[in-house]
Formats: sequence, C-alpha cells, structure tokens
Amino acid sequence: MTVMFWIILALVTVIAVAVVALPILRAGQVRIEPLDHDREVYRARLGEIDHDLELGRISSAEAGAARAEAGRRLLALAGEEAGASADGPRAASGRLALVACAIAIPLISLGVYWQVGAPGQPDQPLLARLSADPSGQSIEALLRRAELRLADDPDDGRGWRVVAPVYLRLGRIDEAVHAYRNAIRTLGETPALQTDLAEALSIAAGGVITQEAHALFSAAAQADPAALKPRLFLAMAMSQAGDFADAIPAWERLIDAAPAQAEWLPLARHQLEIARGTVAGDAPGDPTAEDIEAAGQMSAEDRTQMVETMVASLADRLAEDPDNQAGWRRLIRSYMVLGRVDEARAAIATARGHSDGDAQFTAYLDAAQAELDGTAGGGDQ
Amino acid sequence: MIVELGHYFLVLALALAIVQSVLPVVGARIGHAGYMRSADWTSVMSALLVAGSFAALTYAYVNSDFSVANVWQNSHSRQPLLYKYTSVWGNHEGSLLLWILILALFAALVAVFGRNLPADLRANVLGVQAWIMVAFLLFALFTSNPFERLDEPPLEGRDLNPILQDIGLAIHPPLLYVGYVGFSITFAFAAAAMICGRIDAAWARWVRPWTLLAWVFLTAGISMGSYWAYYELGWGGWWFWDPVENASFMPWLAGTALLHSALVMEKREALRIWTVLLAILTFSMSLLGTFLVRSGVLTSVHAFATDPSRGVFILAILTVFIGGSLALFAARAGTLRQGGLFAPISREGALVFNNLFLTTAMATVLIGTLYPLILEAFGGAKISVGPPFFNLTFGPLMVPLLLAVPFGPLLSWKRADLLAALSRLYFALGAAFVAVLTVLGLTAGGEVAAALGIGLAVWLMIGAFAEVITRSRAFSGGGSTLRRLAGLPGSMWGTALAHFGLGVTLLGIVAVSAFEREAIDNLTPGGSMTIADYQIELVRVGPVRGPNYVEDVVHFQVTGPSGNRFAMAPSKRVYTARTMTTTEAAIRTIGFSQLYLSVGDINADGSLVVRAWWKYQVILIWLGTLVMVAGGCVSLADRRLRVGAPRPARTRGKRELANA
Repeated sequence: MTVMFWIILALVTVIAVAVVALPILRAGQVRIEPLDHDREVYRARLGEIDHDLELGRISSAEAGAARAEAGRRLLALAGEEAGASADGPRAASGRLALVACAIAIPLISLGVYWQVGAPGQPDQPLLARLSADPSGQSIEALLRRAELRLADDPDDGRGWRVVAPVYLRLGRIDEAVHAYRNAIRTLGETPALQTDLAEALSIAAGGVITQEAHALFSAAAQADPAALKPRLFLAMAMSQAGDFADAIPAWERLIDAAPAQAEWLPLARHQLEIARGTVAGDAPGDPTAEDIEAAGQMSAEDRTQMVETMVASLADRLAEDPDNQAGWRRLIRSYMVLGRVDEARAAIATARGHSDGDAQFTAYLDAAQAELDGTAGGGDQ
Repeated sequence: MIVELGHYFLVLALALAIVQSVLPVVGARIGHAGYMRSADWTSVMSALLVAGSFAALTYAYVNSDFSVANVWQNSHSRQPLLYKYTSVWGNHEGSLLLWILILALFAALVAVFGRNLPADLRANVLGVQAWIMVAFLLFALFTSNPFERLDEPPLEGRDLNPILQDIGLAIHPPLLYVGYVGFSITFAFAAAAMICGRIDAAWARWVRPWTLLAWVFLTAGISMGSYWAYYELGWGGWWFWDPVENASFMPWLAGTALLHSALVMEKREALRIWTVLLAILTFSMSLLGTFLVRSGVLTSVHAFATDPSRGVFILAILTVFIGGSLALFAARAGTLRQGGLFAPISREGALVFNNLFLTTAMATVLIGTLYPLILEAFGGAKISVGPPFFNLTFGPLMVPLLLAVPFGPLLSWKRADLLAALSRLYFALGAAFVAVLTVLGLTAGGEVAAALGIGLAVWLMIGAFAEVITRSRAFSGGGSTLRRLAGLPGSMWGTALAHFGLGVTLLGIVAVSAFEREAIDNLTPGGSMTIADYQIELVRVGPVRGPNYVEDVVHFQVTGPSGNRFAMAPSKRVYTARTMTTTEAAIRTIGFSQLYLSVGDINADGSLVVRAWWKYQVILIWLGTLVMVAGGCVSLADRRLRVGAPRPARTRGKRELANA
C-alpha cells in the first residue's frame, strides 16, 4: 500500500512537470497574429448588423452607421498592428524556465506536503475498523459495534444486558443505567436485573442508595430471598439512614449467610461493628485502615462505592454532631485522598466554625488548606 | 492511501498554480508562445488534481473515515448516504475545497473553450486566475486543511449541523459557489485586460459568456438558498436580509449591472472604465462575502469558521486583490480613449440608468450589512439593521428601475424616441391598469400598495415581450410570424425571459407580502384551527425514529374549502449526536400558493403551539428566478456569442476584410 502510494505520488509529480515542459518545448510551432482575434470579433459584429437589418431591428441608416463604426475600429486595429509588427514574438529558448519548473514543482509540492501531510497514513474507513478481527480490538471499538447494532434493534434485550456492565466498568454510569433500563423493558423484571440497575443507580448517586434503588433492591430481595446482593445493599441503606437498630440484625443475617470467601465480608463485619458501637453510644465509627485494606480486595466499583458510602455517612453524622474534631479530620483527609477538592475546602471552612479556638485543630486545618492550595497550584503548571 | 493522495494532489495543485501565476504572464510580456500555452495545460491539470482531491475527501466522508479530522467533526456514520456527500461542503474546510475546485474548473474552461481569445489575453486571464488559486490554496492548506488527520480516530463522528441535513443543501451551495466564484473569471479578465492594455469592445464580447455563466448559477444558487431557508428554518420567511444572504446578493447586483454595462461596451465601446471597475467590484463583493462568512465576524448558520487567524488571512487576500486591481486600474485608466457618444435617451442611456440604480442598491445593502459590524468594531452599541432599513432604502430604489425595464430593449442605440417606445408598450400599460383596478376592486380599495405592486409586476411581465412582439411583427398578420419568432436571436429571447422572470418574482413578492395569512393556536389532539378557508385538525402526535435523529411527528388532517381532505405532518426533531432540535415544517402546495405548518415544543399537558401560514402565490418568487435562469441559458446558447477563433492555417484575414 505504502509503496503504491509513493509510486502514484511520483507519477503524478512527473506528469505535472511534463505538463509545464511540453508546451515550452513545442513552442514556436504555431503562430497566430496577435490581432487576428480582434478582427474575428469585428467580422462577427458586421454579420450581426446584417442580421439585425434583415430582422428589422435597425433601420438601414442605423446599419450604415454601425458598419462605419465597426470599420473605423478595424482600421484603428490595422494601424496598431503596423506599429506592433516590428516587435513580434521572440522565440526565446525557454530552457531556463524549464529547468526552474522541473526543480520548483517537486520541491514545492513535496516540501509543503512534508509539512502538512501524513505520508503513508492509511485510510481508516469505519466499516473496515469495526469488522476487523475482534480479538485485537479495543473495548471501546467492541462497545461501539454493539451500540450500532442496538441502534438498529433497540429491542434486543440481551444486547443491552451485555453492554450495561461494560459501561459500568468504563465509568459511563448514566449509559449503564440507560442500558439496564432497556434490558428490563425488553426482558422483563428479573431480580438480577433489578439488582444491577439499582446498583448502577446507587453508583450514579455517589454511593447513596436512592429511593428508586431501594425499591428495586426490596423487590429483588422479595422475589429471590436467597440472593445476598440486594440484602447487602438494603443493610447498607439502613446504616446510611442511621437506622442502626434494624441494621444490626440485617448485617448479622448477611454475615451468617455469606460464603467464607465473599469479598464483601470484611465490609459487612465493619458495618456491623459501627452499628453496634453507635447503638452502644460510642463515637461514630469511620473508615479505618482495615476498611480500606478490605476494600482493596474488592472489585473496583464495589470499592469506590464502599468508600463513597462511608464518606457520605460520616458527612451526614458530622452535620448532626459538628463538634467532633476527629471526625472532621477524617472527613477532610478522605476528601483529599478521593481528590474531591471542593468538598474538602467546604469541609475545612465548616470545621473552622467548630474549632472552639483549639490551636492544634486550627493548625491542622491550616496545614490541610495549604496542602490543597499547593495541589491546585501544582496542577496549573 | 486515497486520503493522503488527495492531500498531495491539493499540494501539487498549489505548486502548479504558483508556476501558472508567473510563467504565462511573463510569456505574454516577452512574447513567448510556449510560456503562454503552458497556462492552458496547467489549468487543466490543476482542475484534475483539485477534482481528485475533492473526490478523495468525498471518499473519506462516504466511508466515515474518522481518521480525517474534518470528517469526524462534520459527519456521522448513521447519516443517510446523500448527507454524507453533502457533508463534504457543509463545513468550512470542505466548502473551501469546493471554492478552489470551482476556481480551477473555470480556469480549465477558459483554457479549453477560450480558443477564440488572443493568446496574450488568455495567458494573462489564466495567470490572474492562478494568483487567486494560490491565495486560496495557501489559505486552505495552512489554516483550514480538510485533510488533517487524527492519530487515534474516534469511533463516531460529531454529525453535520442538523439544519444543514437537507436536500436543499445538496443543491444550493454548489450552485451558489459556481456563481460566486465564477465571477473570479470576470475579475481575471478585467485584470488581464488591464495588463495587456486591451480594454475594448472585443474584450467586452469575450467576457460576456463568462459573466452570463456565473450570473446564471448565482441566480439559481440564491434562489435555492432562499427556498431552503423558507422551508427549513421553520418560520416561513423567504428573505431575511441576513448579512450572509446579503453577501451573496451584493455580487448578484454588481454582476447584473456588469452584464448590462458590458453590453454597452461591446456594442458602442463606451463605459469602458466603468465596466472594468464593475468586474473588479463584483468579485470584490464575492471576496467580501467570503470574509464575512468565514472570519467569525458574523454568527449565522453559514458562519462555520470562528478562528481569527482565518479572518486575518482572508482580509489579507481581500486587501491584496482589491487594492492590487484598483492600483492596476489607476495606472491604466489614463490611457483609455473616449468611447462612442450617445444621447441620454438611448439604449446606452437606459443601461446607464440600470447601472446607476443597481449599484446604488448594492451600496445600500453594503451599508446595511457592514454598518452594524463597523459600529461594533469601534466599541459602539451592538445593533442589528433589519428588514425595515432595507425595505425603506432598497424598495424605493427598485421601483424606478423596474418601471424602466421594459423600455430598455425597445430603445435604439445612440439616440432614441421615448414616445415611440412607449407606443409599443401601450398594451402592457393597459394590462397593468386592468390589474391595478382588479386588485382594488377585489379588496374593496383596501390594498392600494399591493394593487400598484401587482400592476408593476404585470407591466414588467407583459412589457418584457414587447421587443419580441415588435421585431417579429407578431400582430401584423401573415403566416410567417412563427418563423420570424423562431428566427429571433437567442439573446433577444434571453432578455425577454429574464425580464419576464423578474416580473414573476415581483408578483410573488407583492402577493405574499400583502395577502399572506398567519394563525397561531395552542392545540391538543382533536383540536382544530382555521386559516384562509382551510380547517386544520390535529389528529395525533407520534414518535418516529430516523437514522440519526428521533422526532415527534404531529399529524394533521386538513379540510379545504371545496371539502377536499389531505394530511400534513410537521415535526420536531432531535438530532442525537449534537442533541440539537430542529423544526421540520409541513408544506402543501395548492396552485402557486402554499399552506405552511410548523409546530412548537410539546407541553406537559400534551398541547402544542401550532403556527399556520397561508402563503399566497409564494411559489412565484422562485419560479420567477427560474425563468430568469432560463433566460440566461437561452442567451448563453445564442451561437452569436461564440465568436470564432481565427484559423492559423488560413492566414491573412485582411484580404477577406477588404472583400467584406
């Protein structure tokens, strides 16, 4: 392909040079008197006058005057010619121009093309790209292929069910929600799909289990009491809502039913502890190092969700109990780790209002503030 | 490979254009036939190269090659095939390539069909055309390259601007561009004439078919653009005095003036300076239009480019070409001899009258277009000069011009008798009076302005054929009338048709302005409204899924005055790639009138705003322009326009002349 490209390129360039060169080389074979063309025009004009006269467009007197005028111009031309004929066309050899063009044309075209072109970059028609061997294709390309098929047949529920988790993994949460909804629309409500949709909705809501998600989890749990996932999220919803009295038995039942290798087991245990601790009157439990470690063994979306959930519940509790300085420290730190800079700033500002003149706490807040500013400044560079 | 070859072709065309802008001009100067002849060859070669380049870009569009940035930005893999083609010129870079293609095609046409031109004039014309080519090729390659590639091509394009996804766009820009850019060749002729020192009657004759060709296409293009705006933008207006419309209308006015003044120069060798100036002015208006549309000083449907560096580049092109040609003009104007003399009442006088009004009209449009921009540039208020300004200035200027049109062809050269001409127009005058009285009678005297306007239109339409009738002695009896009619020269028929078309357009404009009816109502399914004897009932609203859009189609059942029923279905479309909403009007043509329906957003309670127009005789506006175009074509087909080329083998025309 590339070789072909260069061959055609060279060929066309040679033709372009030849197109300039040939007429120069053949010069002098044909000679036309420079004023013959003008004479043709006046001859045509005389013919027209005759024609007009025939049609009666002009009177014979007008025709006579017009003829006289055309004749006068012809005479003037003849005079010009007499003056000009001394300085007839010279047959310069033109060799210099020939060489100059032969060099200039390829030089300009190749030089400019080198600057602006992408020599040898192949064509990439969409169809060819999509029908290429799927094994070598990126996940985006495969997804795009599936999307095009679904656009043709939006009632292909299995297709929607396949693409939905892919969207979720790529972080395209809204599209995942859309895909799960379409799957439910065409395949009907199954506990598994309801659970998946509700999970996607929770992720979309930043880890908070929304009303709709809650309803879906409940429906799924009712339809399939043996399924653990909806129950896990329902328990989480209770913890989030601060409904620890109900959360404790829910978590306990989950832990009992869990297979030993369940990756969410540490999370469940920790949540149970928090719930028990809170009911017993302890300080609010917060994400601990162990939690984060446990989270490390989860899948990416579970982990994100867990951390987000915890941070959200911590923020809720601090809103009710704003004098908890340790809580503020953890919240600010969590926000910074998650990269939620604006929320970190807001939290620092709120925490300042509850520092009660505690120098150590104020110093901590200042340091955090400085760190944030430094990050932002560094980001600009 | 194809895309890159297309890119290389474009660059090679630049190299050839650079050679062509020097070699033939030098050849004409030193009298080297080979240098001059090379322009013919390079013109054809450049046209082929640019055509190849255009084909390569089209190939990329049709195959959705998103590795080409331009394709990715302006098309979508799901577009219907037709719009993949039209997307090629539906954007700044692609349309610029079309610009260059037409420049190259016109040069090639002159090279191939311009055998009747003297070698030095042809060489200079092609040389000047090459200067324009070089400027625009540099502009394309370095600021707006349609072949820019992406290393990691996305999997879907951003789609063409939805309101450009329309059949009108398939036709309107290419036509408009052929006209718009076609005037470059008359500019090249003017510049070449000044370089060669051949500003004479023969020159006027040679340039006429090219002017006519460009004018025909420009007329058709503007007309199509107007119709497209009428049905696609959804508010039923056919002309908005939008700066971009004005940008194409100004070259049209100047070009029309040029067409008429070149006639005087050809027949009488008068108005030479003026004609050359008009040729320069016309193309300057084309360039100005290009600048307005592409520099980002305007925001409009057409204003695709908003990059200031492009604006500066075009401004430089504008300055160099207009300034350069005017300087050349200043250097040459002094050497021109006095042309033929004429009395004020004569064919020449009528054409001067025409030129005076057309260029003044153009000047008012220019002021109306540029004044807000200039005011804003100097920190003034942001104002918009709208239809009221143009109606107050442009309209009154047109009335005397239109009144005079039927007289023009009846006046004889040099000196004419106005009364004799009027006597041939008595029947047109009579018809106009009858028309005025009829309209006054029908409207009970309520529409005086409309009655006068319609009278003027009838005067134009009937008067346009006065010359044909007079010359063929149509009413003097005798069986040979038809034969004489057929024997009339094409250019006479062309004039008659073009002037008749003007009358038809005027009739449409007056009728629709005076007798248009509009109704707006908020309807729910089952509800109905009435406009101009038509009962419009909203039946239902149904969603429809298009290839790259979804739409809510509103189904109406319309009952006409005679009880005839038909369905109409306007819609509201959302193009998914850009999430842009468009209004698709429904239009029903009844005679020369149209019923026009468009719908607003659907409210929460299921009701929607329906706008209905009764566009009385609206089609005549565009039919008239089509007749004008037909007139131009008939005139162009007149074989007398094609002055023969001297045959080199049979030398010495002098002897034949002596015999003549």
